[in-house]
Amino acid sequence: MKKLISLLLVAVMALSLSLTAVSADDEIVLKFLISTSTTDFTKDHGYEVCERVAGYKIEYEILNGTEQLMLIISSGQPYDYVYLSGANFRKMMSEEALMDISDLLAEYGNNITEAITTLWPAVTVDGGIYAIPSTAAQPGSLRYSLVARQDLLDAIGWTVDKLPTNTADFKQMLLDIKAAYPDMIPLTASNDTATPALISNIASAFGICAGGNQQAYQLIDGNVVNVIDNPNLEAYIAYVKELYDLELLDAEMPAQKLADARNKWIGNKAVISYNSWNGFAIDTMYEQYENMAFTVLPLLQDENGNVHAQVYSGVGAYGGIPVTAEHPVETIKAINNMMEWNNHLEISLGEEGVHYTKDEEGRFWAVQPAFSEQKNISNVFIAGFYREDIYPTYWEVRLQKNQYMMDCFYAQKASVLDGGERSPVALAPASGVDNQSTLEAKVNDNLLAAICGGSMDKVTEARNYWHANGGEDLTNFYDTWYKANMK
Amino acid sequence: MKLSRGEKVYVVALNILAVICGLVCLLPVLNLISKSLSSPKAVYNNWVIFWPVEFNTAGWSYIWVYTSYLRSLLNSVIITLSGTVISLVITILTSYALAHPKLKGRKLLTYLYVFAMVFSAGTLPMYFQLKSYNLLNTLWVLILPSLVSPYYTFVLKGGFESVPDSLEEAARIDGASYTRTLVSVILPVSKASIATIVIFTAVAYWNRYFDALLYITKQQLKPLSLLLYEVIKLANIEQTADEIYGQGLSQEIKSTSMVVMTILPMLAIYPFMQRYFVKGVMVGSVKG
Repeated sequence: MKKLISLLLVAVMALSLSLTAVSADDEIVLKFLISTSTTDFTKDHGYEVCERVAGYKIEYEILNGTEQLMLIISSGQPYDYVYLSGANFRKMMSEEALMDISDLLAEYGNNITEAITTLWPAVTVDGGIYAIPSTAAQPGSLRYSLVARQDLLDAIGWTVDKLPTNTADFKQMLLDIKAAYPDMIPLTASNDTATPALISNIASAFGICAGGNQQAYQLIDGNVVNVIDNPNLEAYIAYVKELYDLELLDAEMPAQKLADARNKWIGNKAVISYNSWNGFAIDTMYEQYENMAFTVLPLLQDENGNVHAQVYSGVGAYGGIPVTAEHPVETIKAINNMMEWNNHLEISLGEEGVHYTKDEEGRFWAVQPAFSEQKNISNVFIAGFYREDIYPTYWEVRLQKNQYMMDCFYAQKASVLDGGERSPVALAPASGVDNQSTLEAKVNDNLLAAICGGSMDKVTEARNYWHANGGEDLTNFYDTWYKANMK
Repeated sequence: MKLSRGEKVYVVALNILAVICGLVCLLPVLNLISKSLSSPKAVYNNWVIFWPVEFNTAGWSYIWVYTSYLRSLLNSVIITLSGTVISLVITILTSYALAHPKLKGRKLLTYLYVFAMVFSAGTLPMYFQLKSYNLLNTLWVLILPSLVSPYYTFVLKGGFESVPDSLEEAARIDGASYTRTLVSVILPVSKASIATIVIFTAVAYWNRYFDALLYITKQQLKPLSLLLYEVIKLANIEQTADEIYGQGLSQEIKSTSMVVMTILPMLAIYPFMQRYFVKGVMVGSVKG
């Protein structure tokens, strides 16, 4: 027995010595907390490239959610980099948990400062820079618009060249659909978008910009205005309400999610659907219906023949360095290396001729199946620090994984014509107004209620509520910020 | 014994009720399995009810090939096996001691267990405690905090108390120590309650995801339950081009495939434990 105890003691001492030896090793290992991924990312080509070009060994770990992030921050764990959504960035800022990296960027971040061209205001507070802003992947594109079953429209005379461009024709088209296909819903939509009462194609006719990622605000005569104060809001609501009353709009719209609306469209229960380019499952439609054809409907024109829409813009994610980071200098150096033009290209798209090709016009094309198999999640390694000047182009190569989805994306993007506006508040910092989400939810709920069976008084009620509960402060904050920073 | 007419009606009604209850539990599972093995077209159109339509294993292949399923499965097996074994040893020893009338301070100890059952430390102190032990990002963090379960200790204590005192006395007279008495006399007659505890503990370890959600950031340490949470979470977020792995594969098929592949290992061992389970849940409910 004594021998056994002695042996165990020797083993424990040997183990602790070996652990000490490991910790004495002075090789710097950076700890990056990145976004959720269900795949084994060590098998991705992007991981291999990062290992080679970052200049430091990086240990990637996965952030499971906001609750975990808050525990990590409050317990002061020494992560060197954290990938943050907009909400988490604001939380970290309010906890003063992010480091001012302006000096580090000036000294070691030449590739970073060169790659980010317009997004810095979104992360600048009192002259300090608190994160690397990452561009939303599809700037300039329309997120949501109406897509129709063109095969069904052709049969009733609404061919591609005759599609409606004004509200009167649009209503007539829906009436024709209802008469020809009595078992189908002419137009289905959901309560799932940022401002669910606004359908981009129709709002366009009333000068209201919708369909982007921050639909509640737009510029009117140089001022930032919330949709509730848009002078054309009543006219828009009255028009859509009429469509609802005529049973041309899905009666279940206020209660259903995007997936429900999509299933109605796929299940041959709706002729037109309001969704995003990636939400129509068009490949399944082609498999299912023999003569399937789809069309992205044009945005309706206002009385001057112009269209209006809000296109995607702003920051998609934030790359922050916590104040508890052990190696902030090395982290900036590593990110700077990864954002170097050629390295960033290799992480994003891979090796030319193996994962992608480039044609004479400079367009990139994915080489399949290598691209899908080896570059599937390469984006996660640079998530939080995409090059603003080129990443959207690389991102579009990822769309090529699905031809129908890509066609829909480009058709929605093209439908904006020259009427696309970027949200004036896309780069604004957190407003600091505590009840912002309550105010915006109240507006959304009331506008939907006014359309779907309620009276127009609901709009007035929402406006009064907005002004009585600090909505004006919110608009003033954005307006002041816009005039100080974006003009 | 001949049943009266009223009794016959009663038995038939009970059987019908039992079948309905069984179906209520079984049919949603059947629906999940069928959806995971159907074509996207069939799922989108809500054609799938209790049988796969247009049989298709793409969802299962996706989970197998594109997610870290195997690694997570291994983690869950390690956590469940070691957690269950260690927890069982602790629960048996504690229950035996607490069931023994000669234990000094038995009442106080029992109260302490009740206290622990009612009050817990809360997330933040627990997190700091585990951090101070360097347990974060280890498989131990998913095993150790749940090792002692006051509830199962009381269940097993009840089981041990139902063993006639004369059995133990006989063993003691024959010269058996307390350990020998426990191993050779008490445990063999308590198989059913122990099997129940094994099932409950194993299922709890298998399904536990919240601990992993808070304490694990290393991908290679994720248990299956956390992977399931992530697959479903990503499936519920609007799918972007960056997240499209299996073209033409609906999110619902991915989610249902993951759910089925997560519960499958547990379903596979369940029939072998069932005969003990039925006996075990009755332990302590009828005395005499």
